[in-house]
Amino acid sequence: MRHTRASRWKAVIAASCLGIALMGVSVPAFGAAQSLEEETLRLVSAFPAEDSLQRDELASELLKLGPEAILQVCRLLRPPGPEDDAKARFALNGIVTYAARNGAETQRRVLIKALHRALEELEAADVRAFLIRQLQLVGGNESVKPLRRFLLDPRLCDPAAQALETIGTPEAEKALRASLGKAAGKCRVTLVRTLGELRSRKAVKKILEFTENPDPEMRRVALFALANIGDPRAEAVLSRVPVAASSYDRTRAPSLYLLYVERLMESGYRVQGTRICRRLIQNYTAPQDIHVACAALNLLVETWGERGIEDVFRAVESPSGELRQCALALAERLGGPEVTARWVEKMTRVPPESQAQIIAMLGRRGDVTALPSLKRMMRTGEKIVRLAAVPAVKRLGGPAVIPDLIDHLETEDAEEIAAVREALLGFPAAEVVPAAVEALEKGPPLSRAALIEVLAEKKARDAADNVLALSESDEPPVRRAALAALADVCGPKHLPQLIKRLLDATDPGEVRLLQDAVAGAANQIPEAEERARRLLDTMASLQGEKKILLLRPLPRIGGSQALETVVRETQSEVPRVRAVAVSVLSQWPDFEAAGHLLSIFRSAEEAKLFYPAVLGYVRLVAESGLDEQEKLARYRELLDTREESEARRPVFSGIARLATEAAFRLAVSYLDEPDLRSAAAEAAGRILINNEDIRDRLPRSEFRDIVHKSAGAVADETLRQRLDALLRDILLEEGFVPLFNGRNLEGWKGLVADPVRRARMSPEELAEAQAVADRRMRDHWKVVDGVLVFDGKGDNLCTVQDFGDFELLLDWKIEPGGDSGVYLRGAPQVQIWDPAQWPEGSGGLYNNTTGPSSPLQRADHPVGTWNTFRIKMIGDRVTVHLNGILVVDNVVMENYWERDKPIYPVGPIELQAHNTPLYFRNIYIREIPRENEKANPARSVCLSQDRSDSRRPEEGE
Amino acid sequence: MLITDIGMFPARNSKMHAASFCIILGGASAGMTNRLTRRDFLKRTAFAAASLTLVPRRVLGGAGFLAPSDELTKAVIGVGSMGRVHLTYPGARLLAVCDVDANHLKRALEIAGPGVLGTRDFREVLERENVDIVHIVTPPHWHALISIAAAEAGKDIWCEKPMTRTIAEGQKVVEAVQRNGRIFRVNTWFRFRGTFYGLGTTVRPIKKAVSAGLLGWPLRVTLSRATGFDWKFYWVGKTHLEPQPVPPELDYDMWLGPAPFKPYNPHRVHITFRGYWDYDGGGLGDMGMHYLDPVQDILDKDHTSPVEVEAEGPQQHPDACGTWRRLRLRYADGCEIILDGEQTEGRVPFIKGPEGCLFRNLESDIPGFQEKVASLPDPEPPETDFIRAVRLRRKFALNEENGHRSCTLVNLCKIAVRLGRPLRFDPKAQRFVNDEEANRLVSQPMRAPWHL
Repeated sequence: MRHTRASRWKAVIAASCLGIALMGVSVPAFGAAQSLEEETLRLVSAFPAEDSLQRDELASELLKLGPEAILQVCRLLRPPGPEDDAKARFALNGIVTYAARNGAETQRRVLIKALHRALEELEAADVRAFLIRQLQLVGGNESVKPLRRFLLDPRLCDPAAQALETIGTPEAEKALRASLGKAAGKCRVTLVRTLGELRSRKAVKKILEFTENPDPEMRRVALFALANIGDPRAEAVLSRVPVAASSYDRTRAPSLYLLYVERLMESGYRVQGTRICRRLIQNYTAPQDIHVACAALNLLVETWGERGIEDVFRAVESPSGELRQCALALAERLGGPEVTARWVEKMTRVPPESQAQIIAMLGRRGDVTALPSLKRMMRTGEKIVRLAAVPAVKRLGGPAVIPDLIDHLETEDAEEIAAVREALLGFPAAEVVPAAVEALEKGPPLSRAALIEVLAEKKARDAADNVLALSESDEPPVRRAALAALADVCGPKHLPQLIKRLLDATDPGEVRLLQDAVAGAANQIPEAEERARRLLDTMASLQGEKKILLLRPLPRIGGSQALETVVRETQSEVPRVRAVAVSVLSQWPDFEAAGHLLSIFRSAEEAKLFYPAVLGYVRLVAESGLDEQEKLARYRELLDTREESEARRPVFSGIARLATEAAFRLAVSYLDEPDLRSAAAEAAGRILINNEDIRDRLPRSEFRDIVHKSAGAVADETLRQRLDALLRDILLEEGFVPLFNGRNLEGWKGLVADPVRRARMSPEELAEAQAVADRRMRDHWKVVDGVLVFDGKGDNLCTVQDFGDFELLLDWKIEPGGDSGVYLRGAPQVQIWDPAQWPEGSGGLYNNTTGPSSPLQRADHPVGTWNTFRIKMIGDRVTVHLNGILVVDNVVMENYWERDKPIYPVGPIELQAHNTPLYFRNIYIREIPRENEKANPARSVCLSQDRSDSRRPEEGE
Repeated sequence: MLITDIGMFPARNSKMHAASFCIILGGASAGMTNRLTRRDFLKRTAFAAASLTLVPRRVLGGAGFLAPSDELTKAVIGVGSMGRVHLTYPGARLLAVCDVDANHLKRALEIAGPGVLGTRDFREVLERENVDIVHIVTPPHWHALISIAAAEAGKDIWCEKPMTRTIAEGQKVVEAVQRNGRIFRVNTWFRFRGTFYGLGTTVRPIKKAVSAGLLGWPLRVTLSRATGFDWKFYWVGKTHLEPQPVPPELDYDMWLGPAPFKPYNPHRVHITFRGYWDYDGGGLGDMGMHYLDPVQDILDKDHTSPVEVEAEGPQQHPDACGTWRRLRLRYADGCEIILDGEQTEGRVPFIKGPEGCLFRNLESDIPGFQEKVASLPDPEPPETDFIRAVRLRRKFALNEENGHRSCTLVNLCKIAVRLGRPLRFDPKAQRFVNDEEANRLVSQPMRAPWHL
């Protein structure tokens, strides 16, 4: 009866309603007269809700319609497939969440009842799994019975057991246990796992049977379950491990044993557990096992608390620093001052490494009774001990120990000075500054330098006069530290003195520090326009190149008068002042300077003026709030303004920071301009790397070519590698395979004679000749930083595999006078050479005698930079693109070895050695199936067998 | 069958047990004795000492720590796009890589060069004694499981963010790492290094200012586009996925591991897995720990969690993560964190307190703010070099404990977004108060045979 009704429902939904409900077309409300089905569908179609309020309203209305309506929602579920049931899933999960809230027991019951009925009625396993997962969120003990029947169903035992585990009642445990006897395979593993999680003691006897099961997953899960249950009956299997057990199981055994011991102690068997833990600590001392001792010690302390302290003291005797550290982590929170006293006493009787560890622990422990001993250790211990004592003393002693720490600076040891400096920085300025100032006059130079650094970090403006005085010290570390600190401690009143020092300074390093100091002091003036005034006044009285000293700090001070002055100095009669002024202007912090830079860029004659101008202008535009389109327009204008490549190259650094397709296109349009190629490629490459959406929008082949072109042109090694990786991904997707792996010569072999002579050799002769050739190959072809490098001596490099029809991509680079070529099917060659000597350029089928042998045009990039070949060979016809330009158009390749024959049907790719160094990378090939292979799959199997034979034609004949 | 008593003999290596039996039967060989004498620090029984010397993982330095000359070794589990980055992290020699996708594995092995083990089963990595550090760069639903197994195998751990997919998983990781004395770090670093996203400053001066009470108390922290944080709402799942054949290179069952079985669709796995609750939690999962961990640190909440969380946003699909509009977390002392997904512009304070506000670039409405900050005590510098932390067994700056508390913010937010009702949380018990369904999301059973 039920079955019939269900079928009818399904028919109804499928025929009429499902489409409407699930396609998102809302059904108009018909008011009270409307049927339950229609009302349900109307509500479901309103999902997903815009917020939780709407979700709760919809869920509440559905629940008001009763279990029948909820059941109807369930019936809208579909197994994953072409039908989109997202609305039904949103609706049902929405109802679950609404009904699962606290205090909604009545609604929850309505829902549960409907879910149970749906589980009975709906048969698709994926739908049931979804329903069970909803029950896992909302179900209670009443769901145990409806769930238990799925525990033996391999498709559903996992979700059912997980739901029962979540419900977690004694009845749930019983249901799982009852099924265990009948379960097999995967479901049995699931049941044992779940019973283990629920710590079912009653299941122990049964689970013990599985510990020797042939299935390793079954055994592992059984051992875990037994350990987690912690029943003494399992002691025998958990305390021992068969020597025949797998390496992983042996690794895991101690942890399972410890889990068992933990449960044992939880249930009162503390003495027994303690004995086991101590035995583990005693025996697990090897470096790779020490974590077991550590875990056992932790377990002891977790169980016994303060009473575990003796075990902790004992563990600190261990030769293993790891176990000692583990014990001391526990010691941090065990016992009061009397235990601190014991640690202090212990500290005196252990080696320095352990002393250092105990000291660090005492610092973290925070008991100040340890302080006097720690202070003593800071003075008298070995270096490792002293280094540990400094932060510990700081922690325990607070500001009161500042004098001790400063006394500790009586050392030449840089590490100790650094430790004290770090400790001093941990005090507030009010505490540490007066003490540091007082100590400035004495002590070794490095220590005084450290104190000056502390004053700088704390911006101790009260100490400015002291620091100024020390900046004239004769001791280099003190003098340098003081000069560096001036920027942080000086204020407006020091400006006259600083400016004077600056004008007198000669050492370039000191000049820079004094300029920093002037900027730092000037920036203390609250009114922006006042900050630069004193510098500008002084500068007005200066002549010639002296002005440069005061010009340089101006970008860090800013203000419109300063800008005006700088702009004026860009017209200075003194060439160096002019150049420095432009450089200063190019560093100006705000956009105000942009117009001035642009006009310098337009009008300047020398590169040393227009180059910094364009750099600064591009930076200001890039950092400005202009929108991307406007920025691009400005860059375009720059590119159109000047012809010089130095003037245009910096523009691409700005373009690279844009994230628009238009910017990308602009960069790409310069990829073929020899002097801008590299900068343009860098911009195009960066935009592509950073913007997945632009990548996705480009047609694949165009994307590939641009990436390839850019990768060949960029100077930045990291970017090149990222682009190569991108290229690799695209090529693999397109069915290309790499011929060169970037690491070694796998897939390549040395050249033996030529095809004609090879064919005449016996297999033995050939094997011997091949071995000689391979040795010679390894001497002369090397992989350096992912590039295949030929040293200029030796023979061709051949692919191990033979190829028929294919498309080959390859990047090459030569040196001046370089000469090489790519052999196709073992025959010469697509030409590579230096166009300075052979002006026709590379790419031609050099050995053709009847057909064309020269490229259609010269498309070479300059010698010493990368070039890209795309070579397509179908039958006997060859097409070559060099750097994206067609240079050989579907030309018949002639057979050089046997002039009366057509080119061989298959053969290796070879890289020709012609006595000059060569570089190759990104070598990819895509084999193109021949027509007859495509037409007949059976034939293609045959062909590929032929092909595998023909890989060694020399052996075949 | 030969059986070893675990309490008496370290169980790991069968060679060693064979050796033990050899010794009983025939006495120690000369070679063995020689090697034994070099390690006189081992005051152990002849059996155990002999067994150790047969398979030394590394020679201990004088202090009982790793000698500085000894190289640390590592394995990377999960070598998709992020895992390949981990291959290059310096400081330890790579010994093994692991991935359930044969293509990932092949590519990683190509990068790694010769002599590196490749496997699809992480357990084969953990059983290797010579591996010191395990990098976990799988999707988040595997993080806890592998972290715990690694800790129990005596490995130190460098785990990707988010640390764990559920709060209960995080508690278990803390327990396993601490009990076994392991060094653990989560792979986010803004609390101790680098400019904090779009905030234009590092965390340190903010922490100094807040700890000294310059802004007063309690504080409200806002993370939105306007304060420099983008919630990446493009990490959403698809609500309708058609099953597709599993590609031959992928072991999908192992990829799912503890997650519920759902038919394969490429959108579930590699990279886009973030859009599904079973594996991660959308933009929150991706950026949550990066953004929230420093805030926990700034507010000095490393040992606690909020007591309230609430979310505003559209209803969530039970499988696919969607977007949200706003989240609010509140601590017991009244401090709040606002995750604002809507406001993208305007001068919004990053931190607002009763005494003043802190904006991007360390700007404040408090006069002389930066000078004041400089005069404050610096916080004690934590250990920020993971390799040194491993060598000297020091807790790393962002470790299992504070990492778990930071990740708890992410996991609280995920639950609030899914349930769409205000929730109260008990930071001590780490369970919700009076909300059974929420608690069922705190702890979620795993698919067999996996368990925590």
